[in-house]
Amino acid sequence: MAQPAGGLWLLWAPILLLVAFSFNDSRRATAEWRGFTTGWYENIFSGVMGSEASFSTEEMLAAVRQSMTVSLLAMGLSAVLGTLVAITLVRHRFPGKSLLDGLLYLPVVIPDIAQGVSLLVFFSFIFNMLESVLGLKWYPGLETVIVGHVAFNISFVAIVVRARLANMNPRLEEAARDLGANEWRTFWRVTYPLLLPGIVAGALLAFTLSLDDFVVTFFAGGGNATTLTIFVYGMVRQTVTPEINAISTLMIGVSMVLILLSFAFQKDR
Amino acid sequence: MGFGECPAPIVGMIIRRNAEIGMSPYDVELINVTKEFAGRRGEAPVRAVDHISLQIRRGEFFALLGPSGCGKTTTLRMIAGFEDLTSGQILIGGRPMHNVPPFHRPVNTVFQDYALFPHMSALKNVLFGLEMESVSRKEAMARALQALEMVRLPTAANRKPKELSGGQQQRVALARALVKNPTVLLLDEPLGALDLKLRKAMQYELKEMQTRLGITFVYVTHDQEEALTMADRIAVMEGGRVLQIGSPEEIYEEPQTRFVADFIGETNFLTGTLRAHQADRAQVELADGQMVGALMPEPLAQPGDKVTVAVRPEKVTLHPVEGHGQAEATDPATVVLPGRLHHSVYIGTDMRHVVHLGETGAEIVVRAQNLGHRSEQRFHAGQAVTVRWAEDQARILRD
Repeated sequence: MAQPAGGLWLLWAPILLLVAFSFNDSRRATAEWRGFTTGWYENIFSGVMGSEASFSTEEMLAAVRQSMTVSLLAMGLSAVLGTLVAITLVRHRFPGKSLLDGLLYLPVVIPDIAQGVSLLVFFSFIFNMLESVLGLKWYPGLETVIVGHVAFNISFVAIVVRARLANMNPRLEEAARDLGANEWRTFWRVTYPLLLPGIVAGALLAFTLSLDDFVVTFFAGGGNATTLTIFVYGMVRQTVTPEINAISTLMIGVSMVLILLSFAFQKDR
Repeated sequence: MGFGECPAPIVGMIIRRNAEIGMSPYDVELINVTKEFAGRRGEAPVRAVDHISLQIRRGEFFALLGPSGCGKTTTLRMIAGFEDLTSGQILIGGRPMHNVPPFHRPVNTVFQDYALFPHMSALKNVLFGLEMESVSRKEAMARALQALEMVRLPTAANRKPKELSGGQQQRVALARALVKNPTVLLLDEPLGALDLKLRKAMQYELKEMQTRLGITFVYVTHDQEEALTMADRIAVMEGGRVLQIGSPEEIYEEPQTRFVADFIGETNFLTGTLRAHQADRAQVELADGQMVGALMPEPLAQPGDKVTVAVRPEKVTLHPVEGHGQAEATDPATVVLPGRLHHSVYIGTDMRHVVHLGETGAEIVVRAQNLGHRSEQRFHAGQAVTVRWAEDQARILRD
């Protein structure tokens, strides 16, 4: 009992400490415990700042809005594309299928930093092409961040949906066709409703990953996208304030709720 | 038992559809059909169905019978349109089905695991097929409810499949297929998942319904008893080929191959050498020199060839050897072989005796009906006995 529990404490200690300090009644974010307060939470929503960091609630909310825009669009696009990838991989036979199957895990396993750099290279290549061939000038921004997020989220959605599809009895689709439904109606009346919990779970996962992402956003945004993670990073570069603890705690809370929802959908009904 | 009255509109539509097709006396024809599946990397393709030809008559209850892997389900799936043919042709109601997708074929399927849509109620499952046709909502609802009534499930309409028992799911699957008024109903081991008692009851109901509706049934099963009791004709399959097609009686009484004789019921096999052959009678010399007569309606072998003689256990009788003499004189058309009773098993309706024959030690199984007479002859293990059967009850088989 003692040993595994010790390991668990190591896993959770930094997070618990962060949560605790977000309620610590001390201006110094990492000092000893001085008593309970919700003051920092009130501060972040009323624009009151300590002298250490420049902070305004409006800026933060603008960053939240950008995060939402990026996460929602990335979620929607990767849900559609990831589902199509999963269906292709499970229901169709084509040369190179097993290779593609394995490559699905690539964005899951490659380091974030490598993914970020690769996107940077990719976009500068594309933008250079656009400029030299069509004379169009284009800059990184929210659009490139969204593309970057979709690029890794497709894999996560596809993996979740594929698991559900692989567990689905292929006779169900045959039964639909046997009863007179063409491919299109078979998909919308049988395949899609049965896959929906998997698609929702994958989409929630994608939304959470997108919301929490810093590295890919940092590289793909090229300094023109200020999502919440970029905003927090900007503040931490000056100093860690108790308000940052509070924001981080809120982000953890939102992510946990979303992930729990995603797990609930992945379970059968 | 029974489904009660069949809803008149369904019967009417079936009759109309049969009249429209008119021409061919066959509802389903398979002409030299072969199906190969791609092998694993670097391996040869697997031939699941090997040049089979079948003609299934209108209104017939036709069983495809064989062990698992014999190609019967693949054959059914090709008729349904789920599998492409490697070569050959399938006609349904006289129309070639090449490139006709499942949703345009006048057949419907009852799947082995029922394949009910889990997100729809029983009623929605039955309605599904009608919603795919241009049937008004009102008519669709009326027909779906009738179909559920026909399978005696009117009260389960709003329940989801997982809330239904196996037998009830089976009935919903049946209603869902029949409500489409198919020319041919394809059934893939539909009773396989049910317990014995329910299976027996459903066998009876299915047969009764098929007779009443007059729909052609193509019924896949590995259960020889099911095929024998339900089917008008049976095709026995093995290794992707059809070995024999015939009525249950023909298949049972006149098996043409050793496999068919062995698969359908229990059979005793004796190997020997063909010595003489006249008309439909053959004389075979067994390994110990005994001569036995048997039927050979077709010239399957030449004198000198190794052959197999088959005789059903219930056609064999067991007799004690009295005193020191051989058995009393018998009719020359009766085969009499001496042996020793190895053991007897009481199986309720029958006694099953296993006899080891004289010098060869070949095993003969004898089934004697348990008539329950106290005075009946009792046998004990180790006793010297003779086994007897009429020559015309034994047949020469192809291996």
